[in-house]
Amino acid sequence: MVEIKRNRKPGLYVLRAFLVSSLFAIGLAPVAIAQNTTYVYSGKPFTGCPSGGCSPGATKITGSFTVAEPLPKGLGGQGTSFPLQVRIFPVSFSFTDGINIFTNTNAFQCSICPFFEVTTDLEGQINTWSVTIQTATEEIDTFATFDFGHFQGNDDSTPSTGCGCASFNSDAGSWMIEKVSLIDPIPTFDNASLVDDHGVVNLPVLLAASKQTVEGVAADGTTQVVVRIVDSGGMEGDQVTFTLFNDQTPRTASNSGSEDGYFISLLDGTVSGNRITVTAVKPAGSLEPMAFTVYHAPLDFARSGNQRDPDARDRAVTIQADILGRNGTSQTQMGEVSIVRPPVALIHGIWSDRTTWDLFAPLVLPKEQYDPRFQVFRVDYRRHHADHVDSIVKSDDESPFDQLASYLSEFKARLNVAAVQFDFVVHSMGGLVTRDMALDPRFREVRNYNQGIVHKLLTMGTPHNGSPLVNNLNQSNAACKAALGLAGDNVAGAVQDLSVGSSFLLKVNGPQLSTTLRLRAHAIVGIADLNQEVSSEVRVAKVVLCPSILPPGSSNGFHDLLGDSDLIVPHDSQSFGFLPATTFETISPVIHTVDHILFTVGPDELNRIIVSGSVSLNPALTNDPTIDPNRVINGLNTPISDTSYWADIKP
Amino acid sequence: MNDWSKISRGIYRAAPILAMVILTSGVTLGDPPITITSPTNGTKVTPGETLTIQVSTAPGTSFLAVQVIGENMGFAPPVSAPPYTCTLTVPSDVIGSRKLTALGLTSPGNGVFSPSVTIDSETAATATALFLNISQISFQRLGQQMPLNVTGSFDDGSSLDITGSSLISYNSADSTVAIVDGNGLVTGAGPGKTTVNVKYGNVSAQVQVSVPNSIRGDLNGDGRVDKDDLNIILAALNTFSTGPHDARDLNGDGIINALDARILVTLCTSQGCATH
Repeated sequence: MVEIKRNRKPGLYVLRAFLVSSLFAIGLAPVAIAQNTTYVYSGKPFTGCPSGGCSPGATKITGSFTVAEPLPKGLGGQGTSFPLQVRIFPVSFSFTDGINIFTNTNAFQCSICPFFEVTTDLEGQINTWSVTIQTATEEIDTFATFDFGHFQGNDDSTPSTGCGCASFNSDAGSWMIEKVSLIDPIPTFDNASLVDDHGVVNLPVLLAASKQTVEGVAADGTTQVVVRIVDSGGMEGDQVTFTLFNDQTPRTASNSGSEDGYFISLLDGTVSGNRITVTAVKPAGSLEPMAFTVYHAPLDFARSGNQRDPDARDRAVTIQADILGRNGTSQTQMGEVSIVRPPVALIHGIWSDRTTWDLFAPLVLPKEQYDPRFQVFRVDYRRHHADHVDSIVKSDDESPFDQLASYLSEFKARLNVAAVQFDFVVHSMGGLVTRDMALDPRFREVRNYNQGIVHKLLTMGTPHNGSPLVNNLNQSNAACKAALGLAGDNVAGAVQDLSVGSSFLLKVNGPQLSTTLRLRAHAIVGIADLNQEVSSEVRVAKVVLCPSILPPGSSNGFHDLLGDSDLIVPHDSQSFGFLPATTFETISPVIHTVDHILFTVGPDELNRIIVSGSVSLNPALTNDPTIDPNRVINGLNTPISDTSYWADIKP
Repeated sequence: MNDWSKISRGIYRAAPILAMVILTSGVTLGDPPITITSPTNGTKVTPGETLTIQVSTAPGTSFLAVQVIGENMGFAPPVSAPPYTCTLTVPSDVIGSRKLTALGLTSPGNGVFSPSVTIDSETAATATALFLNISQISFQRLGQQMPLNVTGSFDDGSSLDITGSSLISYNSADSTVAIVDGNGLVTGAGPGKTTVNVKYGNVSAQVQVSVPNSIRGDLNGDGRVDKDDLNIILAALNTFSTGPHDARDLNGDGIINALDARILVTLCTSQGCATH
């Protein structure tokens, strides 16, 4: 205590106050909407009471202060060796040492008193502090800092008529933000500590202890977060009414659960439209009563008829908690829920890798950049691209499940939101990889509320029912297969799977064990025009190494074999299972993939053409709505509730 | 190069081979009947470069034609008579080691292949920045793997996938936490956090890797097992667990009791089970 007191002379206070005032002015720049935020302190029990009057081990400093807006994250120079505490000026405060009460109404006022200095971590939580409050006769202090890397602090109450207790250990107390908090019940994929097969667990002690706060949710219609408030100064049994407000101007109570999300009863209470009233409880080990409910994410980010959503990265709803105390008191806490788009997963096809998407502008941009509205991640299974689809899905080193799990963690960390599902954009066999994943036991798990990891699925050129061209390739002679294998494109398991009538296709298209599992999907069907067909047929006619690829002697080889097609996959296979017909769209002239030998006349489904023998970007304007990437973006912006656009297909 | 483009390249370029039929004769067993003599193993080439490939045949052998097949590069035009000098252009997007194999066609649908020669395609441009497919890997379990994909931005304006380049290096700052192989495949090796560094030329990039501790006992999800977790069990002493997923019931006997508390103490990650 002596050492710490020595460091906290009034003169030093003045100097600190002077030094930090400019930092404070910078760090707490006004924001558009002020939001009172309360920080609650819970100290450790006093270890001694030299002046008597307290009970060692029983009394301690507790209290809170409120500032006009949340403290900035990293306040005081996080990341530096010696973060400098920054003076702040609460609009109100109330602390106690267990004997006396120190508030903004009875505290002594001077240039350096009451004195509040803090630093915050990168999450905005107070991590070091110096608080001194004096009344006419007493002083209360709590202090903690990093002293050469060691966290240490103490609480004390200077006796006049006060407690006179002190704690000298390095076990300082801690702060938490009092507001409507959102807790991700699935903080990591491996630690689903707040969910079980029935959803979020109804155990207040666990809900109270969780530190996995987030700022919002992905609008995937599946994600849930725990809504938690601290009823400071309240009592068990206080009634807390949570109300959900939308983002309209002026803000109004939500009237659409599908668009704004909705509450789910957790411990008690009945949901009535946009609100639920619950009873505050005091979980074991908690200092204050708390109240909980669950907020369920909207069905989708884009809302029908909303003009702003297609261009937005996020939107928000507000949760208001009105606390009605048993003693007649009342208070209101607010919290904003950021609603973001689900992450987008790109899945490539056979004999390919993630670079297949390199020219898929404007969704994919150079240098690992993407349309800023979307968080895009590419699954890459280049080591297994010729294997059976099942083998791809079950691989250890390139497991799509594991890649997506890592990407989901990155997404959640980037945006500080809860999320469990992706919007899938797939080309060719990538669609079958995705559908096969849905049949894997790992698809539906507790950590995605048993709803799987697919929010929406957009397929391009996917051979949902195989391709006769692949059958022909699979039946080609040994030299043809060997030559292709040496070129790096093995005619192996994947080719077998993509053949019409393969056991794999019978599995994914046949009756499933689960009759309830469906994927909400839309197909973009590429159709070659006559010029593209003829151009490639002329070239294929010269090929004799693999003579069985196209019907011999046919003058309309591709069309005789495939009907309308993208020259690889028939129209009927690309749209197989998509009903009604409005749930797929055709685009022409487009072929499956361009190359400079056989398929030279683009564009292809990946937005590429051939220029001077090289694969190049389709010169169509990026704002041309007819190119595939913009059709995909349109799909991502089409509400999942639009059943004229989205089909329910078998996985 | 993508999926069907490669197959069509192979089909088209190989087509003339089968137009000529000459039976092979006099192959000596044990000797490679056909060999690539140039380039040799390890030869550096550049993307877009047209290679001249010399193929020799064993004495007494003859072929309908000789052709070179390049991994991810397609087929060189066939050569029907000695000297077998083939040309093949390395695609502009191919980076890293690739195999060249000579095919001696003996009859329609049949041939012999040479031992493969491995060349290394590396751009001469200078990398100015690296881009990774992910910035942090949060593994769920020990042994889990995640491939890194690296895109290089170069001073000639090109952007290339250099994941498999021989000039790239992957290093884990702590191999007890994560190991990374030469192809950028990261594997969670042990609990903790570390960094995998990717370096190419004078530019580098990092990815943070975290491997979870044993989740057992971490009841509040803060990545540690400590007194806070113990207090959660103590607060529920002698109550029934909520089911098989109740993490507090560490011994799975359906009751949260002192036995679970004793187990948790053994799982604490700090001395004396102290909070951090």
